[in-house]
Amino acid sequence: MSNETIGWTVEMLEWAPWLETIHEAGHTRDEVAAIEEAVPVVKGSRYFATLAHDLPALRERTALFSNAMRSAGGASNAERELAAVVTSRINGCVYCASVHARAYNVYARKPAVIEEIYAEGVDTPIAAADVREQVIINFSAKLTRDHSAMTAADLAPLRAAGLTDLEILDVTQAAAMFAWANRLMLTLGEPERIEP
Amino acid sequence: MTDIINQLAGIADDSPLGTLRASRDVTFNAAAGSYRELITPADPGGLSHVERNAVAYRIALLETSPAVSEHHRQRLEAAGVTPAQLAAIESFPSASDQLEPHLTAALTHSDLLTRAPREATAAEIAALRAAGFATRDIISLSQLIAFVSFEVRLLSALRILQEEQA
Repeated sequence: MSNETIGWTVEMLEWAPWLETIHEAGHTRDEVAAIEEAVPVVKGSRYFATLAHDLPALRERTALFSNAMRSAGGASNAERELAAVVTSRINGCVYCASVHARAYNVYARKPAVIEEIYAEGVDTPIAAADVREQVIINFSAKLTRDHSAMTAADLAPLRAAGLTDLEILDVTQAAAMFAWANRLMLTLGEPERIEP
Repeated sequence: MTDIINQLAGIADDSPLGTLRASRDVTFNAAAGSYRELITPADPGGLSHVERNAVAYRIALLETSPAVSEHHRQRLEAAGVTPAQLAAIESFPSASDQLEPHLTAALTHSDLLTRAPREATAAEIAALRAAGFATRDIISLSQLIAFVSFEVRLLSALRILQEEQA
Protein backbone atom coordinates (compact mmCIF):
# COMPACT_ATOMS: atom_id res chain seq x y z
CA MET A 1 0.00 0.00 0.00
CA SER A 2 1.42 3.38 -0.89
CA ASN A 3 1.80 6.53 1.15
CA GLU A 4 -0.90 8.18 -0.96
CA THR A 5 -3.43 5.37 -0.43
CA ILE A 6 -3.20 5.62 3.34
CA GLY A 7 -2.85 9.38 3.72
CA TRP A 8 -1.72 11.37 6.78
CA THR A 9 -2.86 9.68 9.97
CA VAL A 10 -2.16 9.34 13.68
CA GLU A 11 -3.38 5.74 13.58
CA MET A 12 -0.91 2.96 14.28
CA LEU A 13 0.42 1.53 11.00
CA GLU A 14 2.64 -1.39 10.04
CA TRP A 15 5.71 -0.98 7.85
CA ALA A 16 6.44 -3.72 5.32
CA PRO A 17 9.95 -4.04 3.85
CA TRP A 18 10.65 -4.57 0.15
CA LEU A 19 13.72 -6.63 1.07
CA GLU A 20 14.07 -9.74 3.19
CA THR A 21 14.66 -9.20 6.91
CA ILE A 22 17.63 -10.68 8.73
CA HIS A 23 15.26 -13.44 9.90
CA GLU A 24 14.42 -14.40 6.31
CA ALA A 25 17.98 -14.32 4.97
CA GLY A 26 19.05 -17.90 5.71
CA HIS A 27 21.13 -17.24 8.82
CA THR A 28 21.55 -19.91 11.48
CA ARG A 29 19.71 -19.51 14.80
CA ASP A 30 23.01 -18.67 16.50
CA GLU A 31 23.78 -15.96 13.95
CA VAL A 32 20.34 -14.41 14.38
CA ALA A 33 20.68 -14.58 18.17
CA ALA A 34 24.06 -12.81 17.99
CA ILE A 35 22.58 -10.04 15.84
CA GLU A 36 19.62 -9.63 18.22
CA GLU A 37 21.97 -9.43 21.16
CA ALA A 38 24.13 -6.79 19.46
CA VAL A 39 21.14 -4.58 18.56
CA PRO A 40 18.08 -5.64 20.59
CA VAL A 41 15.61 -3.46 18.61
CA VAL A 42 15.98 -6.00 15.77
CA LYS A 43 13.82 -8.47 17.72
CA GLY A 44 10.48 -6.72 17.57
CA SER A 45 10.63 -4.75 14.33
CA ARG A 46 10.72 -5.66 10.64
CA TYR A 47 12.28 -2.23 9.98
CA PHE A 48 15.28 -2.85 12.23
CA ALA A 49 15.44 -6.48 11.10
CA THR A 50 15.89 -5.13 7.55
CA LEU A 51 18.52 -2.57 8.55
CA ALA A 52 20.39 -5.32 10.46
CA HIS A 53 22.00 -6.53 7.22
CA ASP A 54 24.53 -3.72 7.91
CA LEU A 55 24.89 -4.14 11.65
CA PRO A 56 27.71 -1.62 12.38
CA ALA A 57 25.77 1.14 10.59
CA LEU A 58 22.55 0.20 12.44
CA ARG A 59 24.31 0.27 15.81
CA GLU A 60 25.54 3.86 15.28
CA ARG A 61 22.23 5.01 13.78
CA THR A 62 20.29 3.61 16.73
CA ALA A 63 22.45 5.47 19.27
CA LEU A 64 22.19 8.69 17.28
CA PHE A 65 18.43 8.40 16.85
CA SER A 66 17.70 7.57 20.48
CA ASN A 67 19.72 10.45 21.86
CA ALA A 68 18.59 12.94 19.22
CA MET A 69 14.97 12.30 20.24
CA ARG A 70 15.43 11.88 24.01
CA SER A 71 18.12 13.33 26.26
CA ALA A 72 18.18 15.25 29.53
CA GLY A 73 17.62 18.99 29.34
CA GLY A 74 17.46 21.04 26.16
CA ALA A 75 14.45 20.87 23.83
CA SER A 76 11.39 19.09 25.22
CA ASN A 77 10.25 15.70 23.97
CA ALA A 78 7.24 17.40 22.35
CA GLU A 79 9.46 19.90 20.53
CA ARG A 80 11.71 17.17 19.15
CA GLU A 81 8.69 15.14 18.05
CA LEU A 82 7.28 18.24 16.35
CA ALA A 83 10.50 18.70 14.37
CA ALA A 84 10.25 15.03 13.32
CA VAL A 85 6.64 15.42 12.17
CA VAL A 86 7.36 18.60 10.17
CA THR A 87 10.27 16.93 8.37
CA SER A 88 8.24 13.77 7.68
CA ARG A 89 5.28 15.85 6.39
CA ILE A 90 7.55 17.64 3.90
CA ASN A 91 9.42 14.52 2.78
CA GLY A 92 6.22 12.51 2.45
CA CYS A 93 6.83 9.76 5.03
CA VAL A 94 3.33 8.82 6.20
CA TYR A 95 4.58 6.06 8.50
CA CYS A 96 7.23 8.24 10.21
CA ALA A 97 4.70 11.04 10.67
CA SER A 98 2.13 8.69 12.22
CA VAL A 99 4.55 7.40 14.85
CA HIS A 100 5.87 10.81 15.84
CA ALA A 101 2.54 12.61 15.64
CA ARG A 102 1.22 10.13 18.23
CA ALA A 103 4.27 10.80 20.40
CA TYR A 104 3.83 14.57 20.03
CA ASN A 105 0.19 14.26 21.04
CA VAL A 106 1.12 12.27 24.16
CA TYR A 107 3.57 14.95 25.31
CA ALA A 108 1.88 18.16 24.08
CA ARG A 109 -1.81 17.20 24.44
CA LYS A 110 -2.72 19.54 21.57
CA PRO A 111 -3.95 17.31 18.71
CA ALA A 112 -5.04 20.37 16.70
CA VAL A 113 -1.38 21.12 15.89
CA ILE A 114 -0.97 17.80 14.07
CA GLU A 115 -4.42 18.10 12.46
CA GLU A 116 -3.44 21.47 10.96
CA ILE A 117 0.00 20.29 9.81
CA TYR A 118 -1.62 17.28 8.13
CA ALA A 119 -4.39 19.32 6.48
CA GLU A 120 -2.53 22.48 5.50
CA GLY A 121 1.15 21.60 5.45
CA VAL A 122 3.72 23.83 7.14
CA ASP A 123 3.74 26.97 4.97
CA THR A 124 0.94 28.81 6.76
CA PRO A 125 0.93 29.60 10.48
CA ILE A 126 -0.44 26.80 12.68
CA ALA A 127 -3.18 28.41 14.79
CA ALA A 128 -2.94 25.84 17.59
CA ALA A 129 0.85 26.19 17.90
CA ASP A 130 2.40 28.48 20.51
CA VAL A 131 5.23 30.87 19.63
CA ARG A 132 7.99 28.39 20.42
CA GLU A 133 6.30 25.65 18.41
CA GLN A 134 5.78 27.93 15.41
CA VAL A 135 9.43 28.96 15.22
CA ILE A 136 10.46 25.29 15.57
CA ILE A 137 8.10 24.40 12.72
CA ASN A 138 9.55 27.14 10.49
CA PHE A 139 13.16 26.28 11.34
CA SER A 140 12.62 22.53 10.77
CA ALA A 141 10.94 23.23 7.43
CA LYS A 142 13.80 25.39 6.17
CA LEU A 143 16.40 22.90 7.41
CA THR A 144 14.56 20.20 5.45
CA ARG A 145 14.04 22.11 2.20
CA ASP A 146 16.71 24.79 1.90
CA HIS A 147 19.35 24.35 4.59
CA SER A 148 22.20 25.63 2.42
CA ALA A 149 20.49 29.04 2.07
CA MET A 150 20.10 29.49 5.82
CA THR A 151 21.84 32.42 7.50
CA ALA A 152 22.15 33.69 11.07
CA ALA A 153 18.90 35.60 10.41
CA ASP A 154 17.09 32.23 10.52
CA LEU A 155 18.09 31.96 14.19
CA ALA A 156 16.63 35.33 15.16
CA PRO A 157 13.02 34.05 15.57
CA LEU A 158 14.30 31.14 17.69
CA ARG A 159 16.24 33.53 19.92
CA ALA A 160 13.25 35.87 20.19
CA ALA A 161 11.18 32.89 21.37
CA GLY A 162 13.83 32.15 24.02
CA LEU A 163 15.58 29.06 22.59
CA THR A 164 19.07 28.36 23.95
CA ASP A 165 22.03 26.99 22.00
CA LEU A 166 21.32 23.50 23.39
CA GLU A 167 17.63 23.67 22.46
CA ILE A 168 18.56 24.76 18.92
CA LEU A 169 21.07 21.89 18.63
CA ASP A 170 18.41 19.44 19.84
CA VAL A 171 15.77 20.68 17.39
CA THR A 172 18.38 20.59 14.59
CA GLN A 173 19.41 17.03 15.42
CA ALA A 174 15.77 15.86 15.60
CA ALA A 175 14.88 17.44 12.25
CA ALA A 176 18.11 16.25 10.60
CA MET A 177 17.59 12.76 12.04
CA PHE A 178 14.33 12.64 10.09
CA ALA A 179 16.07 13.67 6.87
CA TRP A 180 17.78 10.34 7.58
CA ALA A 181 14.85 8.26 8.88
CA ASN A 182 12.40 9.39 6.18
CA ARG A 183 14.79 8.37 3.41
CA LEU A 184 15.31 4.90 4.87
CA MET A 185 11.63 4.19 5.41
CA LEU A 186 10.62 5.58 2.01
CA THR A 187 13.15 3.55 0.04
CA LEU A 188 13.17 0.23 1.88
CA GLY A 189 9.45 -0.47 2.22
CA GLU A 190 5.99 0.98 2.63
CA PRO A 191 3.30 1.59 5.25
CA GLU A 192 0.42 -0.83 5.69
CA ARG A 193 -2.83 -0.53 7.58
CA ILE A 194 -3.17 -2.91 10.51
CA GLU A 195 -6.01 -5.27 9.69
CA PRO A 196 -8.59 -5.41 12.50
CA MET B 1 41.96 14.72 17.23
CA THR B 2 38.65 16.36 16.54
CA ASP B 3 35.64 14.52 15.13
CA ILE B 4 34.62 14.67 11.48
CA ILE B 5 31.63 17.00 12.02
CA ASN B 6 33.65 19.62 13.95
CA GLN B 7 36.44 19.24 11.40
CA LEU B 8 34.09 19.90 8.47
CA ALA B 9 32.35 22.74 10.36
CA GLY B 10 35.63 24.37 11.39
CA ILE B 11 34.67 24.12 15.07
CA ALA B 12 37.47 23.90 17.66
CA ASP B 13 36.77 21.32 20.35
CA ASP B 14 37.34 23.89 23.12
CA SER B 15 35.18 26.61 21.55
CA PRO B 16 31.64 27.32 22.82
CA LEU B 17 30.11 25.32 19.94
CA GLY B 18 32.63 22.52 20.45
CA THR B 19 31.65 22.34 24.11
CA LEU B 20 27.96 22.41 23.14
CA ARG B 21 28.35 19.50 20.71
CA ALA B 22 30.41 17.49 23.19
CA SER B 23 27.69 17.96 25.84
CA ARG B 24 25.46 15.72 23.69
CA ASP B 25 28.04 12.97 23.93
CA VAL B 26 25.96 10.10 22.54
CA THR B 27 24.99 11.92 19.34
CA PHE B 28 28.52 13.35 19.11
CA ASN B 29 30.08 9.88 19.15
CA ALA B 30 27.40 8.26 17.00
CA ALA B 31 27.67 10.90 14.26
CA ALA B 32 31.40 10.19 14.00
CA GLY B 33 30.69 6.46 14.27
CA SER B 34 28.17 6.67 11.45
CA TYR B 35 30.73 8.37 9.22
CA ARG B 36 33.24 5.64 10.06
CA GLU B 37 30.85 2.74 9.41
CA LEU B 38 29.32 4.22 6.24
CA ILE B 39 32.28 5.96 4.54
CA THR B 40 35.26 3.92 5.77
CA PRO B 41 33.89 0.59 7.11
CA ALA B 42 36.41 -2.15 7.88
CA ASP B 43 34.32 -4.51 5.73
CA PRO B 44 32.69 -2.50 2.92
CA GLY B 45 30.94 -5.52 1.38
CA GLY B 46 29.96 -4.88 -2.24
CA LEU B 47 30.02 -1.08 -1.94
CA SER B 48 33.66 0.03 -2.11
CA HIS B 49 35.18 2.95 -0.22
CA VAL B 50 35.62 4.82 -3.52
CA GLU B 51 31.95 4.29 -4.40
CA ARG B 52 30.91 5.48 -0.92
CA ASN B 53 32.97 8.64 -1.34
CA ALA B 54 31.54 9.16 -4.82
CA VAL B 55 27.96 8.92 -3.51
CA ALA B 56 28.72 11.31 -0.64
CA TYR B 57 30.44 13.72 -3.05
CA ARG B 58 27.42 13.69 -5.39
CA ILE B 59 24.92 14.29 -2.57
CA ALA B 60 27.01 17.12 -1.10
CA LEU B 61 27.05 18.80 -4.53
CA LEU B 62 23.25 18.46 -4.88
CA GLU B 63 22.82 19.76 -1.33
CA THR B 64 25.25 22.69 -1.86
CA SER B 65 27.40 21.65 1.10
CA PRO B 66 30.90 22.88 0.11
CA ALA B 67 32.78 21.50 3.12
CA VAL B 68 31.38 18.00 2.57
CA SER B 69 31.84 18.01 -1.22
CA GLU B 70 35.44 19.27 -0.93
CA HIS B 71 36.21 16.58 1.67
CA HIS B 72 35.01 13.75 -0.55
CA ARG B 73 36.53 15.22 -3.73
CA GLN B 74 39.93 15.17 -2.01
CA ARG B 75 39.38 11.58 -0.89
CA LEU B 76 38.40 10.55 -4.43
CA GLU B 77 41.47 12.26 -5.91
CA ALA B 78 43.70 10.58 -3.33
CA ALA B 79 42.19 7.22 -4.32
CA GLY B 80 43.17 7.79 -7.96
CA VAL B 81 39.80 8.72 -9.42
CA THR B 82 40.49 10.55 -12.70
CA PRO B 83 39.41 14.12 -13.54
CA ALA B 84 37.08 12.68 -16.21
CA GLN B 85 35.40 10.44 -13.65
CA LEU B 86 35.07 13.31 -11.17
CA ALA B 87 33.48 15.41 -13.90
CA ALA B 88 31.10 12.55 -14.67
CA ILE B 89 29.99 12.43 -11.03
CA GLU B 90 29.56 16.22 -10.99
CA SER B 91 27.44 16.25 -14.17
CA PHE B 92 25.65 12.95 -13.47
CA PRO B 93 23.97 11.38 -15.40
CA SER B 94 25.08 13.19 -18.58
CA ALA B 95 28.53 11.55 -18.82
CA SER B 96 27.76 8.30 -17.02
CA ASP B 97 29.52 6.32 -19.77
CA GLN B 98 32.70 7.35 -17.89
CA LEU B 99 31.53 5.39 -14.81
CA GLU B 100 31.10 1.71 -14.01
CA PRO B 101 27.48 0.52 -14.19
CA HIS B 102 27.57 -0.41 -10.47
CA LEU B 103 28.44 3.16 -9.48
CA THR B 104 25.94 4.55 -11.97
CA ALA B 105 23.20 2.53 -10.24
CA ALA B 106 24.30 3.86 -6.83
CA LEU B 107 24.29 7.46 -8.05
CA THR B 108 20.90 7.07 -9.73
CA HIS B 109 19.50 5.93 -6.39
CA SER B 110 21.21 8.66 -4.38
CA ASP B 111 19.99 11.39 -6.76
CA LEU B 112 16.38 10.23 -6.36
CA LEU B 113 16.54 9.87 -2.58
CA THR B 114 18.26 13.23 -2.20
CA ARG B 115 15.88 15.19 -4.42
CA ALA B 116 12.54 13.41 -4.07
CA PRO B 117 12.50 10.73 -1.36
CA ARG B 118 8.70 10.39 -1.62
CA GLU B 119 9.09 9.09 -5.21
CA ALA B 120 11.06 6.00 -4.16
CA THR B 121 9.40 2.69 -5.07
CA ALA B 122 10.21 -1.02 -5.04
CA ALA B 123 11.37 -0.59 -8.67
CA GLU B 124 14.52 1.17 -7.41
CA ILE B 125 15.35 -1.83 -5.23
CA ALA B 126 14.93 -4.10 -8.25
CA ALA B 127 17.20 -1.84 -10.33
CA LEU B 128 19.93 -2.04 -7.70
CA ARG B 129 19.62 -5.84 -7.57
CA ALA B 130 19.87 -5.96 -11.36
CA ALA B 131 23.10 -3.94 -11.10
CA GLY B 132 24.57 -6.56 -8.76
CA PHE B 133 23.76 -5.13 -5.34
CA ALA B 134 23.32 -7.72 -2.59
CA THR B 135 20.73 -7.01 0.11
CA ARG B 136 23.38 -5.77 2.50
CA ASP B 137 24.79 -3.43 -0.16
CA ILE B 138 21.32 -1.91 -0.71
CA ILE B 139 20.99 -1.31 3.05
CA SER B 140 24.49 0.19 3.25
CA LEU B 141 23.83 2.48 0.28
CA SER B 142 20.50 3.64 1.72
CA GLN B 143 22.05 4.30 5.14
CA LEU B 144 24.92 6.18 3.48
CA ILE B 145 22.57 8.42 1.48
CA ALA B 146 20.45 9.04 4.57
CA PHE B 147 23.51 9.79 6.74
CA VAL B 148 24.84 12.41 4.33
CA SER B 149 21.35 14.00 4.26
CA PHE B 150 21.60 14.28 8.07
CA GLU B 151 25.21 15.47 8.03
CA VAL B 152 24.75 18.36 5.59
CA ARG B 153 21.77 19.68 7.61
CA LEU B 154 23.59 19.47 10.92
CA LEU B 155 26.52 21.31 9.31
CA SER B 156 24.23 24.05 7.97
CA ALA B 157 22.84 24.66 11.46
CA LEU B 158 26.35 24.72 12.97
CA ARG B 159 27.42 27.16 10.23
CA ILE B 160 24.69 29.67 11.09
CA LEU B 161 25.35 29.29 14.83
CA GLN B 162 28.96 30.26 14.06
CA GLU B 163 27.80 33.20 11.92
CA GLU B 164 25.56 34.35 14.74
CA GLN B 165 28.48 34.41 17.19
CA ALA B 166 30.85 36.20 14.79
